[in-house]
Amino acid sequence: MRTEAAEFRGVVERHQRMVFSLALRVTGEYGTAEEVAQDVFLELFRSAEKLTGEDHMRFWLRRVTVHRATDALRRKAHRPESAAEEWVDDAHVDGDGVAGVGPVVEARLEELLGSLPEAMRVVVVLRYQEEMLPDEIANLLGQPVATVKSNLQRGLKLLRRKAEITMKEYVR
Amino acid sequence: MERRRASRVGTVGDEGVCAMNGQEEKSEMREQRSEMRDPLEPVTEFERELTKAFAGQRVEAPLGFAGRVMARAEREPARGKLLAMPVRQWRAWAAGAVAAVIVMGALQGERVHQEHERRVQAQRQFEAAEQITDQALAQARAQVQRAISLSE
Repeated sequence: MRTEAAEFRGVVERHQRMVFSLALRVTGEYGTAEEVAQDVFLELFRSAEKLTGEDHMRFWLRRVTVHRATDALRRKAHRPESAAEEWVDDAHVDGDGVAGVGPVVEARLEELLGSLPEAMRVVVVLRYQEEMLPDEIANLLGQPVATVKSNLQRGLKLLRRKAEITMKEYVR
Repeated sequence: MERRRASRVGTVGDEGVCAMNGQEEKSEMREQRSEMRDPLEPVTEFERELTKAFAGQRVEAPLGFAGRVMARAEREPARGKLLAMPVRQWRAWAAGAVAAVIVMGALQGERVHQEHERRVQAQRQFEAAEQITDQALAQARAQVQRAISLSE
Protein backbone atom coordinates (compact mmCIF):
# COMPACT_ATOMS: atom_id res chain seq x y z
CA MET A 1 0.00 0.00 0.00
CA ARG A 2 2.89 2.34 0.88
CA THR A 3 4.54 1.68 -2.47
CA GLU A 4 1.25 2.18 -4.30
CA ALA A 5 0.68 5.48 -2.52
CA ALA A 6 4.21 6.64 -3.31
CA GLU A 7 3.80 5.70 -6.97
CA PHE A 8 0.48 7.47 -7.19
CA ARG A 9 1.91 10.59 -5.58
CA GLY A 10 4.68 10.52 -8.19
CA VAL A 11 2.08 10.37 -10.97
CA VAL A 12 0.16 13.30 -9.46
CA GLU A 13 3.30 15.39 -9.13
CA ARG A 14 4.38 14.56 -12.69
CA HIS A 15 1.08 15.53 -14.31
CA GLN A 16 -0.49 18.10 -11.99
CA ARG A 17 0.69 21.15 -13.98
CA MET A 18 -0.72 19.80 -17.22
CA VAL A 19 -4.02 18.73 -15.66
CA PHE A 20 -4.44 21.91 -13.63
CA SER A 21 -3.54 24.20 -16.55
CA LEU A 22 -6.01 22.42 -18.84
CA ALA A 23 -8.74 22.60 -16.20
CA LEU A 24 -8.03 26.26 -15.44
CA ARG A 25 -7.95 27.36 -19.07
CA VAL A 26 -11.17 25.52 -19.87
CA THR A 27 -13.13 26.50 -16.75
CA GLY A 28 -11.55 29.92 -16.26
CA GLU A 29 -11.84 29.63 -12.46
CA TYR A 30 -9.06 28.74 -10.07
CA GLY A 31 -11.26 27.01 -7.47
CA THR A 32 -13.25 25.04 -10.02
CA ALA A 33 -10.03 24.07 -11.78
CA GLU A 34 -8.62 22.63 -8.54
CA GLU A 35 -11.83 20.69 -7.90
CA VAL A 36 -11.78 19.32 -11.44
CA ALA A 37 -8.08 18.43 -11.24
CA GLN A 38 -8.56 16.63 -7.90
CA ASP A 39 -11.53 14.68 -9.27
CA VAL A 40 -9.51 13.70 -12.34
CA PHE A 41 -6.67 12.31 -10.22
CA LEU A 42 -9.10 10.45 -7.97
CA GLU A 43 -10.66 8.92 -11.05
CA LEU A 44 -7.17 7.97 -12.17
CA PHE A 45 -6.55 6.38 -8.75
CA ARG A 46 -9.60 4.18 -9.30
CA SER A 47 -8.77 3.34 -12.91
CA ALA A 48 -4.98 3.20 -12.85
CA GLU A 49 -4.84 -0.57 -13.38
CA LYS A 50 -6.61 -0.20 -16.73
CA LEU A 51 -3.97 2.14 -18.12
CA THR A 52 -1.17 0.49 -20.02
CA GLY A 53 1.62 3.07 -20.05
CA GLU A 54 2.73 6.67 -19.76
CA ASP A 55 1.31 7.72 -23.17
CA HIS A 56 -1.99 6.03 -22.43
CA MET A 57 -2.09 7.77 -19.06
CA ARG A 58 -1.36 11.20 -20.59
CA PHE A 59 -4.05 10.68 -23.23
CA TRP A 60 -6.50 9.53 -20.53
CA LEU A 61 -5.67 12.48 -18.27
CA ARG A 62 -6.14 15.02 -21.07
CA ARG A 63 -9.43 13.49 -22.17
CA VAL A 64 -10.92 13.15 -18.70
CA THR A 65 -9.74 16.63 -17.70
CA VAL A 66 -11.36 18.22 -20.75
CA HIS A 67 -14.61 16.32 -20.15
CA ARG A 68 -14.77 17.11 -16.43
CA ALA A 69 -13.83 20.74 -17.03
CA THR A 70 -16.49 21.23 -19.70
CA ASP A 71 -19.04 19.52 -17.43
CA ALA A 72 -18.12 21.96 -14.64
CA LEU A 73 -18.32 24.85 -17.07
CA ARG A 74 -21.80 23.83 -18.21
CA ARG A 75 -22.97 23.39 -14.62
CA LYS A 76 -21.85 26.87 -13.72
CA ALA A 77 -22.68 28.46 -17.06
CA HIS A 78 -20.93 31.56 -15.89
CA ARG A 79 -19.67 32.64 -19.28
CA PRO A 80 -22.53 32.96 -21.74
CA GLU A 81 -21.34 32.24 -25.24
CA SER A 82 -23.36 35.05 -26.73
CA ALA A 83 -21.02 37.48 -25.04
CA ALA A 84 -18.19 36.06 -27.08
CA GLU A 85 -20.15 35.80 -30.30
CA GLU A 86 -20.79 39.52 -30.35
CA TRP A 87 -17.15 40.02 -31.30
CA VAL A 88 -17.58 38.13 -34.54
CA ASP A 89 -18.24 40.15 -37.62
CA ASP A 90 -18.00 39.50 -41.29
CA ALA A 91 -14.89 41.54 -41.82
CA HIS A 92 -11.98 39.21 -42.32
CA VAL A 93 -8.97 40.76 -40.68
CA ASP A 94 -5.61 39.51 -41.77
CA GLY A 95 -3.67 41.56 -39.30
CA ASP A 96 -0.14 40.95 -38.16
CA GLY A 97 0.64 39.13 -34.98
CA VAL A 98 0.95 40.35 -31.46
CA ALA A 99 4.14 42.29 -31.08
CA GLY A 100 6.48 41.13 -28.37
CA VAL A 101 5.73 38.79 -25.53
CA GLY A 102 5.43 39.66 -21.93
CA PRO A 103 3.39 38.98 -18.86
CA VAL A 104 0.85 41.63 -19.85
CA VAL A 105 0.26 40.09 -23.26
CA GLU A 106 0.14 36.61 -21.80
CA ALA A 107 -2.35 37.64 -19.14
CA ARG A 108 -4.48 39.37 -21.75
CA LEU A 109 -4.39 36.31 -24.01
CA GLU A 110 -5.52 34.18 -21.07
CA GLU A 111 -8.43 36.54 -20.53
CA LEU A 112 -9.36 36.51 -24.19
CA LEU A 113 -9.16 32.72 -24.23
CA GLY A 114 -11.64 32.62 -21.36
CA SER A 115 -14.13 34.60 -23.41
CA LEU A 116 -14.15 32.10 -26.29
CA PRO A 117 -17.10 29.74 -26.66
CA GLU A 118 -16.45 26.40 -25.00
CA ALA A 119 -15.88 24.28 -28.13
CA MET A 120 -13.36 26.75 -29.55
CA ARG A 121 -11.64 27.27 -26.22
CA VAL A 122 -11.07 23.55 -25.72
CA VAL A 123 -9.44 23.02 -29.12
CA VAL A 124 -7.34 26.18 -28.82
CA VAL A 125 -6.03 25.04 -25.42
CA LEU A 126 -5.28 21.55 -26.67
CA ARG A 127 -3.57 22.94 -29.78
CA TYR A 128 -1.47 25.67 -28.17
CA GLN A 129 -0.98 24.45 -24.60
CA GLU A 130 -0.64 20.74 -25.29
CA GLU A 131 0.72 21.31 -28.81
CA MET A 132 -1.52 18.58 -30.23
CA LEU A 133 -2.32 18.21 -33.93
CA PRO A 134 -5.93 18.55 -35.12
CA ASP A 135 -6.28 14.80 -35.71
CA GLU A 136 -4.95 14.05 -32.23
CA ILE A 137 -7.45 16.53 -30.78
CA ALA A 138 -10.24 14.93 -32.82
CA ASN A 139 -9.25 11.52 -31.47
CA LEU A 140 -9.17 12.83 -27.90
CA LEU A 141 -12.53 14.57 -28.13
CA GLY A 142 -14.20 11.92 -30.28
CA GLN A 143 -15.09 14.53 -32.90
CA PRO A 144 -14.55 14.62 -36.68
CA VAL A 145 -11.25 16.25 -37.68
CA ALA A 146 -13.17 18.77 -39.81
CA THR A 147 -15.10 19.94 -36.74
CA VAL A 148 -11.90 20.36 -34.77
CA LYS A 149 -10.24 22.28 -37.60
CA SER A 150 -13.26 24.49 -38.00
CA ASN A 151 -13.43 25.28 -34.27
CA LEU A 152 -9.71 25.92 -34.20
CA GLN A 153 -9.85 28.23 -37.18
CA ARG A 154 -12.84 30.13 -35.84
CA GLY A 155 -11.32 30.31 -32.37
CA LEU A 156 -8.08 31.72 -33.74
CA LYS A 157 -9.92 34.27 -35.83
CA LEU A 158 -12.01 35.34 -32.88
CA LEU A 159 -8.99 35.60 -30.60
CA ARG A 160 -7.11 37.64 -33.16
CA ARG A 161 -10.06 39.97 -33.66
CA LYS A 162 -10.42 40.52 -29.92
CA ALA A 163 -6.70 41.04 -29.53
CA GLU A 164 -6.73 43.67 -32.25
CA ILE A 165 -9.48 45.57 -30.50
CA THR A 166 -8.39 45.26 -26.90
CA MET A 167 -4.63 45.12 -27.29
CA LYS A 168 -4.05 47.85 -29.87
CA GLU A 169 -0.75 48.83 -28.32
CA TYR A 170 0.58 45.28 -28.74
CA VAL A 171 -0.87 44.37 -32.12
CA ARG A 172 0.96 45.47 -35.18
CA MET B 1 -14.57 28.99 -48.79
CA GLU B 2 -15.39 27.56 -45.40
CA ARG B 3 -13.94 24.22 -46.43
CA ARG B 4 -10.82 25.89 -47.76
CA ARG B 5 -10.36 27.81 -44.56
CA ALA B 6 -10.94 24.72 -42.47
CA SER B 7 -8.29 22.79 -44.36
CA ARG B 8 -5.79 25.48 -43.53
CA VAL B 9 -6.28 25.37 -39.80
CA GLY B 10 -3.07 24.57 -38.01
CA THR B 11 -1.26 25.54 -41.20
CA VAL B 12 -2.88 28.90 -41.59
CA GLY B 13 -0.01 30.50 -43.43
CA ASP B 14 2.31 33.25 -42.30
CA GLU B 15 -0.15 36.03 -41.86
CA GLY B 16 2.53 38.00 -40.06
CA VAL B 17 4.43 38.31 -43.33
CA CYS B 18 1.59 38.32 -45.83
CA ALA B 19 -0.89 40.59 -44.28
CA MET B 20 -3.43 42.45 -46.34
CA ASN B 21 -6.20 42.03 -48.91
CA GLY B 22 -5.89 38.26 -49.47
CA GLN B 23 -4.05 38.59 -52.80
CA GLU B 24 -4.30 35.34 -54.74
CA GLU B 25 -0.62 34.99 -55.58
CA LYS B 26 0.55 35.50 -52.05
CA SER B 27 -2.15 33.23 -50.78
CA GLU B 28 -0.95 30.38 -53.00
CA MET B 29 2.64 30.85 -51.91
CA ARG B 30 1.45 30.86 -48.34
CA GLU B 31 -0.34 27.55 -48.79
CA GLN B 32 2.64 25.98 -50.54
CA ARG B 33 4.87 26.98 -47.63
CA SER B 34 2.31 25.64 -45.18
CA GLU B 35 2.31 22.20 -46.78
CA MET B 36 6.08 21.87 -46.39
CA ARG B 37 6.34 22.88 -42.78
CA ASP B 38 6.46 20.75 -39.66
CA PRO B 39 2.80 20.29 -38.65
CA LEU B 40 3.63 20.99 -35.01
CA GLU B 41 5.34 24.28 -35.70
CA PRO B 42 3.07 27.33 -35.35
CA VAL B 43 3.10 29.43 -38.52
CA THR B 44 1.76 32.85 -37.79
CA GLU B 45 3.21 35.30 -35.35
CA PHE B 46 -0.08 35.19 -33.51
CA GLU B 47 0.06 31.39 -33.21
CA ARG B 48 3.63 31.65 -31.95
CA GLU B 49 2.46 34.06 -29.28
CA LEU B 50 -0.31 31.69 -28.28
CA THR B 51 2.12 28.79 -28.02
CA LYS B 52 4.50 30.90 -25.93
CA ALA B 53 1.67 32.07 -23.70
CA PHE B 54 0.04 28.67 -23.21
CA ALA B 55 2.56 25.87 -23.75
CA GLY B 56 5.40 27.88 -22.27
CA GLN B 57 3.32 29.07 -19.34
CA ARG B 58 1.54 26.10 -17.87
CA VAL B 59 -0.03 27.13 -14.63
CA GLU B 60 1.40 25.60 -11.47
CA ALA B 61 -1.11 23.64 -9.42
CA PRO B 62 -1.95 25.31 -6.10
CA LEU B 63 0.42 24.70 -3.20
CA GLY B 64 -0.27 21.38 -1.45
CA PHE B 65 -2.37 20.10 -4.35
CA ALA B 66 -0.75 16.63 -4.43
CA GLY B 67 -1.19 16.30 -0.66
CA ARG B 68 -4.89 17.07 -0.90
CA VAL B 69 -5.35 14.55 -3.70
CA MET B 70 -3.50 11.90 -1.64
CA ALA B 71 -5.66 12.63 1.40
CA ARG B 72 -8.83 12.14 -0.64
CA ALA B 73 -7.43 8.97 -2.24
CA GLU B 74 -6.52 7.51 1.16
CA ARG B 75 -10.04 8.11 2.44
CA GLU B 76 -11.42 5.64 -0.08
CA PRO B 77 -8.80 2.93 -0.58
CA ALA B 78 -11.24 0.00 -0.44
CA ARG B 79 -13.58 1.59 -2.93
CA GLY B 80 -10.65 2.43 -5.13
CA LYS B 81 -9.43 -1.12 -5.15
CA LEU B 82 -12.88 -2.49 -5.79
CA LEU B 83 -13.57 -0.22 -8.71
CA ALA B 84 -10.11 -0.75 -10.08
CA MET B 85 -10.82 -4.48 -10.55
CA PRO B 86 -11.16 -5.07 -14.30
CA VAL B 87 -14.49 -6.34 -15.62
CA ARG B 88 -12.99 -9.62 -16.77
CA GLN B 89 -11.62 -10.26 -13.28
CA TRP B 90 -15.07 -9.51 -11.85
CA ARG B 91 -16.65 -12.02 -14.21
CA ALA B 92 -14.11 -14.69 -13.28
CA TRP B 93 -14.82 -14.12 -9.59
CA ALA B 94 -18.58 -14.27 -10.11
CA ALA B 95 -18.34 -17.42 -12.25
CA GLY B 96 -16.14 -19.07 -9.60
CA ALA B 97 -18.59 -18.20 -6.84
CA VAL B 98 -21.55 -19.55 -8.82
CA ALA B 99 -19.65 -22.78 -9.62
CA ALA B 100 -18.73 -23.22 -5.94
CA VAL B 101 -22.37 -22.79 -4.89
CA ILE B 102 -23.49 -25.35 -7.49
CA VAL B 103 -20.86 -27.90 -6.40
CA MET B 104 -21.72 -27.40 -2.69
CA GLY B 105 -25.40 -27.79 -3.49
CA ALA B 106 -24.79 -30.97 -5.47
CA LEU B 107 -22.67 -32.44 -2.65
CA GLN B 108 -25.27 -31.55 -0.07
CA GLY B 109 -28.02 -33.10 -2.23
CA GLU B 110 -26.01 -36.29 -2.64
CA ARG B 111 -25.48 -36.52 1.12
CA VAL B 112 -29.19 -36.07 1.82
CA HIS B 113 -30.00 -38.70 -0.80
CA GLN B 114 -27.54 -41.22 0.71
CA GLU B 115 -28.97 -40.57 4.19
CA HIS B 116 -32.46 -41.22 2.89
CA GLU B 117 -31.34 -44.45 1.18
CA ARG B 118 -29.74 -45.67 4.41
CA ARG B 119 -32.90 -44.90 6.33
CA VAL B 120 -35.08 -46.80 3.83
CA GLN B 121 -32.65 -49.74 3.89
CA ALA B 122 -32.71 -49.86 7.69
CA GLN B 123 -36.50 -49.69 7.68
CA ARG B 124 -36.65 -52.62 5.25
CA GLN B 125 -34.21 -54.64 7.37
CA PHE B 126 -36.23 -53.88 10.48
CA GLU B 127 -39.46 -54.95 8.80
CA ALA B 128 -37.84 -58.15 7.50
CA ALA B 129 -36.51 -58.97 10.96
CA GLU B 130 -39.92 -58.23 12.45
CA GLN B 131 -41.56 -60.56 9.92
CA ILE B 132 -39.07 -63.36 10.71
CA THR B 133 -39.64 -62.90 14.42
CA ASP B 134 -43.42 -63.03 13.97
CA GLN B 135 -43.14 -66.23 11.93
CA ALA B 136 -40.79 -67.81 14.49
CA LEU B 137 -43.16 -66.87 17.29
CA ALA B 138 -46.13 -68.28 15.37
CA GLN B 139 -44.27 -71.54 14.77
CA ALA B 140 -43.25 -71.78 18.42
CA ARG B 141 -46.81 -71.10 19.49
CA ALA B 142 -48.08 -73.76 17.11
CA GLN B 143 -45.57 -76.30 18.44
CA VAL B 144 -46.55 -75.47 22.01
CA GLN B 145 -50.24 -75.93 21.11
CA ARG B 146 -49.47 -79.23 19.43
CA ALA B 147 -47.49 -80.45 22.46
CA ILE B 148 -50.31 -79.51 24.85
CA SER B 149 -52.94 -81.26 22.74
CA LEU B 150 -50.79 -84.43 22.56
CA SER B 151 -50.24 -84.50 26.34
CA GLU B 152 -53.97 -84.22 26.94
